[in-house]
Amino acid sequence: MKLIDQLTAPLVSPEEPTLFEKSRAGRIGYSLPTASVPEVDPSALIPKTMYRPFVEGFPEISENEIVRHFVRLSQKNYSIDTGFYPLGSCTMKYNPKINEEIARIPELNQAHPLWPEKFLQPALKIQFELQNLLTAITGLDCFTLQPNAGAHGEYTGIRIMRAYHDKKGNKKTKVIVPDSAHGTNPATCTMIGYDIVPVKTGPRGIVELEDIKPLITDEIAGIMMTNPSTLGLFEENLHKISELIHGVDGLVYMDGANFNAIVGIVKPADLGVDIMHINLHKTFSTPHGGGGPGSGPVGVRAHLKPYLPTPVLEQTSTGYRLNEDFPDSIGKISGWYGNFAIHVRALSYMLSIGTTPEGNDTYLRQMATAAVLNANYIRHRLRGHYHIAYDVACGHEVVISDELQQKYGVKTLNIAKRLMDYGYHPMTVYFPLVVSGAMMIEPTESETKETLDQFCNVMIEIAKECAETPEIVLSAPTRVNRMKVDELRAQKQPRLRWTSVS
Amino acid sequence: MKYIPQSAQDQRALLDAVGLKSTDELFHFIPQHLRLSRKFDYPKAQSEAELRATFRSLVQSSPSPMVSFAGGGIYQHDIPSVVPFLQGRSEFATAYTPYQPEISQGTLQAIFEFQSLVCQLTECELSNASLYDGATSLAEAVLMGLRVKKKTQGKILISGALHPFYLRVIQSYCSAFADRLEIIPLKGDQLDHDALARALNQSADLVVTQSPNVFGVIENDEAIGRLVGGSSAMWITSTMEPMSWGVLRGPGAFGAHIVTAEGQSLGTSPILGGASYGIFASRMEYLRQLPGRLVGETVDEKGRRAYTLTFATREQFIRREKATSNICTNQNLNMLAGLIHMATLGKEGLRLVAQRNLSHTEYVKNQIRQSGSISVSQSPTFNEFCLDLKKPARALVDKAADEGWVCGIDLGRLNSAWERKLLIHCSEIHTKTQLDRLAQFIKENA
Repeated sequence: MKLIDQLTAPLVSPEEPTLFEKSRAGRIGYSLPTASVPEVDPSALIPKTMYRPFVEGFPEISENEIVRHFVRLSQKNYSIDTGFYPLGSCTMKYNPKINEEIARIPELNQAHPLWPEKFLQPALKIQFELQNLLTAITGLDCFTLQPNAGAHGEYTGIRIMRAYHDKKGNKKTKVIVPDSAHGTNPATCTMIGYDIVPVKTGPRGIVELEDIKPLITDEIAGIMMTNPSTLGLFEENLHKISELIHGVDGLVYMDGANFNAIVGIVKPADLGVDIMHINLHKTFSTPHGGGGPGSGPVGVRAHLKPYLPTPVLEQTSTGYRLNEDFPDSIGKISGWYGNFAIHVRALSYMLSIGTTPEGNDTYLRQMATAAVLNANYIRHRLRGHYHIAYDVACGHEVVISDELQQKYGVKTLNIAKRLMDYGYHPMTVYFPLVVSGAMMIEPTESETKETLDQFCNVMIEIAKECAETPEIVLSAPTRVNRMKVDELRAQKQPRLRWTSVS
Repeated sequence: MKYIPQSAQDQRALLDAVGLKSTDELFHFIPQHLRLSRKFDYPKAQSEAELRATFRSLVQSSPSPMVSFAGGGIYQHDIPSVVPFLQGRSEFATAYTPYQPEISQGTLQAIFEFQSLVCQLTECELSNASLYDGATSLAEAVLMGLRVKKKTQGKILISGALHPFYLRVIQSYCSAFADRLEIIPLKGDQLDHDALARALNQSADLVVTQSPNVFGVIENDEAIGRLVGGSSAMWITSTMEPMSWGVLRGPGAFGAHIVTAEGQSLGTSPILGGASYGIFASRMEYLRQLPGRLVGETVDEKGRRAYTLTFATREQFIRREKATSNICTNQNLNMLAGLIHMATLGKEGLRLVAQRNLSHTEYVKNQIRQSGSISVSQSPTFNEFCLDLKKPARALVDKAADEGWVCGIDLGRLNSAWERKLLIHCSEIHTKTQLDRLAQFIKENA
C-alpha cells in the first residue's frame, strides 16, 4: 500500500452554500425576553431620512441551520488540532484547553474598561502579573500589553524609538533592517517615517559585524533584528552589534516573533536589546484563530518607560491603577488596554510552564530545547533529499528549498500543495525572501518523534515523486476539499461580497 | 510535562541522530557567558487544578458589580450561546491565517460572508476582513484618506463629539500630520453644521465624524453627507455601536467614503475592551488603498466555487515598505463571532434587538424627565444618553460603586471639561427592575 493511502483518504465534505443562499423569509435564530417596558416605535424617534426599518439582504436562518452552517465551514479548515502544522515563523504549537476554560470566566468577560477601578482589580492584576513574567524572561524593565498583534508591537516599539530621539533632539532618519526580516519590519519603519538601510545576511546566514560597521553613522536611529532570524539562526553577533548601535546613541529593537527558540536560554536584555515585542500567540500558545486576535506586548529598558503608550499599569499601596499621566508618552495606540482575552490565556500558559517541581529547571527551557532539537532533527532527516539553505545547527526552524527539484520542473509551491494530499498543512513558502524557493519548517516542541518521522517520510516520498512522477506533484492537491484555487481570477474579476446576481 | 511529548529516551534518540552529546550543544552559538542557568527566578509550574484555583481566587478577591450601565464605546449585550460554541471549534480557533486556500475554505467563506454583511450594514460596496478595533480602524481610515489625497495639504477636520480615546489614537497614528488636525466645535451635543460648512470652505482633505457620538447622540448624517458632498473632502465615519444600524441607515447611503466601527457589540463580551474587532468599509474605487485582508470568490481547477485571500499586493508580506499598512494578524476569531452573532440575529432579530435597546433607553430618559429637575437632551439617541448634572458625575459613579453597581460613566475621565456629564447605557440585557432602580437613583442623587 502506498504511503499516501496509508495516511489519508480523499476528503469529501458537503458543499455549503452561503448564509444568503440559505436564507428564507420569516425564519429567525434569536430570541428576546418579553418586553417589560413599553416598546417604542423607532420611526417616531429617529429622523425620517436616517431611519431604516430593516437591513436589506440580511439573512433569515433558524438556529439549527446556523449551527450546521458553521460546523460544516469549520470542517473545511485545517487546524493544529487536526494535525501537524509546520508553518515556519508562526510557531503553531499546541493550544492548551485549560487556557480557554480560564479565559471564559464570566467575571473577566463582563469587565468593562471604564468601570471604577475597584471593579477591575482582578483584570488589572492579571495584566500586571503577565508583565512581571515577561520581565523575568526578557530582562527588560517594563512592558506594555496594549499592542494587539506582532506588527502592532513593532509599530509601538519603533514609535518609542522615535519619541526617544525626538525628546533628545537627535537627528536620526534611518533604521537598519536585515534582508531576512519579516515584511512587517520595513513596513513599520516606513509608517513611522524612517528610511530603511538594508543589510545583507552573511555567508553563514547571519548578520556579520563587518557588514554593520560601514553603516553606522550619526543618522542611525537604531536596528531592527529578528532573533533568532527568519532563517532559524541565532544572531550570534547581536550583543556586539548592540554595542555599535549604542555607540551612536541608537536603539536595538528585537523582533521576538521567534522567541520560542530561546526562552529560558538567554535574556534579550543581556544581548543589548532595548526594545522588544513578543507574540503571545506564538511563543505563549494562544490560538491563532484563523488570523487573530494576537497580542504583541512590548518591553523596554527603564530609560524608555516615559514613552510607553498610555495608560501605564501601575501597582500602588491600594491596588492596581491605570496611569494616564505620561507627558512624553507616544499616546494611545488602540481604543483600550490590549487584547485582554489573550493576556489571560498567556498568563495561564506561562504559569503552567514554570519551574519544575524539583526546582532545578524550568519547563520554559525544556520547551525551547525540545523545539530546537526537533527542528535540527528534521534538518538532519531531510539532508540529501532537499537543498538546505544553511546547513548549520539551526534554532527552532529549518529553511530548505526546491533547488534539487527544479530539474524535474517542480517548484516549492507544488511541493507545498502535495503535502496537503498527505494530510499536512504546508510549511511557510517563499519566505524568507533571501532564499530562492524557500520552504520554512517549524515543528515546535509540541510534536512527537513519530510525527516528525512520518512528516519526514512524506517529504522524502514527495522528493521521490518529484523525480519519478512529477505530474502527480504538479497537479496537487487532489485529495482535499478544493483543487488549486484560481487566485488570478479572484483579482481579475473581483467578487468581494455576496450579491444575488452572480 | 504534558505539553512537551519529548521523553528522555526520545531526546537521546534525537540527539544521537543529529550527532550531539547533550542539549547544551544545541545552543553552542550563544556565548556561554550570556546563557541563563537552568534555574532562574520564575514561579513554580502549576497544574490545571492549581491554575483553576489561582484564577478563581483572583476573581473572587474583589467584587463584581451587580449591574452595569457603562457604555462609552464598549457595550454589554446578550450573546447567543451558539456564538461561543461555534467560535470555539478547534478548526476555527487553532488554524492560522488562510494563506493556503485549498485547506482553509471554512475561514475564507466566513470572511467573505462577514464582508458581505458589513457591506449591507454600512451600505458600502467594499469591506475588509476586520482590523484591531474601532479606534485603530478609524486611524487607519485617516491614513488611507491621506494616501488617496496624496498631493494636497488640506486640513483633517474632526468632530468635537468624537470619543476622546479615538481622537488620541488618531493623534498618535497621525503624529506626522499633527498641524493638519482641526476640531470642529459642537452645537449642544451635536456637530455644529455651520462650523463644518465654514471649515469646508477653507481647504479640507478629510472630515471625521462619529454617530452615535460620544454623548450617545445620533448625528444627522444625511445633512453632514450633503455638506461634505458639496466639497472635495473625503468623509470618514466612526460608529461605536454597530447594533444601532438595526434602525439607522448605513453612512454609505449618505455618501461616506470610509465607514469604520467598533465590532465588539456584535459577538464579543466587554472583556476589558479586548479582544474585539474593527469594521472597515469603503468604495470599490479605493480598493487598492484599503488596509487589511480581503477575501474574494473564485473557482478551483474543477470550476467549483472557492474563496481566497486576494489583492495581497497591498500587504506588507508582499510590498514590505511600500505596503498600505503594516497590519498582519488581525482579529479573525472575533470577526467570526460577529458573523455568527449577525447570522443568529438575522434581519428580524437585529431590528427587534435594536428596538428593545431604544425602548429601554427611552424608558429611563422618560422616568428621569418626570422628576422635572433634571434636564435630558431632546437630541435623538440609540442606547445611551448623557445627563448634564449640577455636580461632578464622579460623585454619582462613586456612590453607586459603593453600593456595588455601575450607574454609568463619568465623562470627565475622557475629557476634564465634561466632568459634569454622566453617560448612561441601557440595552436588552437590563430588566425593568434594574431600569427603575437606575432612574430612581438618578432622581435622588443628581
